[in-house]
Amino acid sequence: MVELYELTKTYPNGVTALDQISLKIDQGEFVFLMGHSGAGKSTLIRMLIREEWPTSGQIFVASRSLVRMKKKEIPYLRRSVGMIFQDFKLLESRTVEENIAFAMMVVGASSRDIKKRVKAVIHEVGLDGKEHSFPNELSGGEQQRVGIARAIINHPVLLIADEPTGNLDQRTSEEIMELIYDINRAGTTVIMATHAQELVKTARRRVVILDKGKVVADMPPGAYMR
Amino acid sequence: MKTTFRRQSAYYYSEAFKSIRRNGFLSLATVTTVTVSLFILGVAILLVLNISSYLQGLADDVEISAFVDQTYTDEQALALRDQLLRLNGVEEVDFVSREEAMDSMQTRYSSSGYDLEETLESNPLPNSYRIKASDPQNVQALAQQIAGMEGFYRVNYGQDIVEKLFAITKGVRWGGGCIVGMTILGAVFLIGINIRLSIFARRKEIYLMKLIGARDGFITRPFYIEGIFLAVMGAIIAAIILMGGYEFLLREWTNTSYAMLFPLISDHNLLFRCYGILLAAGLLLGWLGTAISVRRFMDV
Repeated sequence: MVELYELTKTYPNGVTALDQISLKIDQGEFVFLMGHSGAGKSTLIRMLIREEWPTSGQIFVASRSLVRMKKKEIPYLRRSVGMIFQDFKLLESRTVEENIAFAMMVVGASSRDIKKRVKAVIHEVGLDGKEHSFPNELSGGEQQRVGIARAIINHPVLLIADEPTGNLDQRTSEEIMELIYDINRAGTTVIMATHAQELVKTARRRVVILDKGKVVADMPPGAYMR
Repeated sequence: MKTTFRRQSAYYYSEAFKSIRRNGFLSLATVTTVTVSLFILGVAILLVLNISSYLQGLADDVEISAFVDQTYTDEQALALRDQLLRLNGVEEVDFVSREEAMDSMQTRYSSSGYDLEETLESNPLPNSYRIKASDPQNVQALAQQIAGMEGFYRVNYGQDIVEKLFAITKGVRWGGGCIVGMTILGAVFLIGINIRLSIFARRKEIYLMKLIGARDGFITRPFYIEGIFLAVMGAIIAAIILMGGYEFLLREWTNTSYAMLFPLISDHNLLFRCYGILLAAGLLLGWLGTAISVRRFMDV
């Protein structure tokens, strides 16, 4: 699903954010991406959706070379990748339903399909009854559910979660994690960047640790004990 | 497919008009600037057209006088006519005999009480031709050509007048062009600022759209609609004011004695083409202003 070969990113100011990273993530896998701030997690994530361009090396997502990808092909790559964020990134002036439908509308789905699919996804993430609420009327956990619904509505093959529980308390975090596990169980590959060690420990999934732009550990499920 | 299209175009327009309302005052300023600059453009176009047509009228009257060698008999002189008609760019050739020339001179001097024939005893004037060029711009070349022909000893034409007229036309076009260019630059600049603000107000949404995988066209279309709408609004207002103003001027002008001396263009086909140019210019300005801003401020 994701293949990186000696991927390197050096910024014009001389900072090397990624240093010859090679990594392979299979379809259906769940991988935690850990490391201190500035270890290269964010750069790697931005690279996966072609927000950044590698200095050298190769990168494949869903068998597509992102290095050779033309600019006009980028939207299609991003449609196959769902993203959720620490700060949810919801549109404050739109309701739950509109926030979720937005993701289908911008890729050109028909209104009939949107209606049907939005209803199903709202149910899937457990937001029934909140369709017409605005983001500021929701708890943090509920807002993240909206974010997740928006991320999965176009059936992505890869879900990238950037600190999805960073703003949530422990109980809410666990609920959100359950939801993400469900999505993974249904076949979607998940890459999740996080600092939450406890959560990673109990999750018993593959863990990749970055430090100063290098992969310093790649542990199989259950090996991360801290 | 059809519902998709309808839903999306509804989205484009609602986003565009939301932006216009949100930018309220600036939108108004943009429309006003476009109106002013296109009005000036329109005035400049009408001015140049009118002056050009006036000068053209003057230039059309510029004739070449070619004087036939005194050694030529009247028959020989008359024979030159065919040679002149064979030249390129000649529209009309008039033979003026020595007697006609004398008569017309006599008429000119009659008020002073002279009898020229009596004074001069014999007629010193040569036979001559008055030649009209089909294109006033060609007068000079044609005159030189005739001067090189056998049988003419001298060729006159309104050198000074012709050259001056064309210099004036050129000057009017240049001056008008500069003023128009500057105001149009201002209009494009304001449209650009307007769109830049709209992009800024929606930057979070734009970023999300990009991440979700919206095509660039989908993201930029509302901005193009906004920019072009504002500019075309300005153009329509400018065209209406210009049309009303010119029609009024036309009506008032024809009632004055100047109308004979300096007739205004009243060919409505031509005038409507002018107003059409304004609308097209508005469309272009809107597109240009938006394109510049979109390109500069939407690289995510």
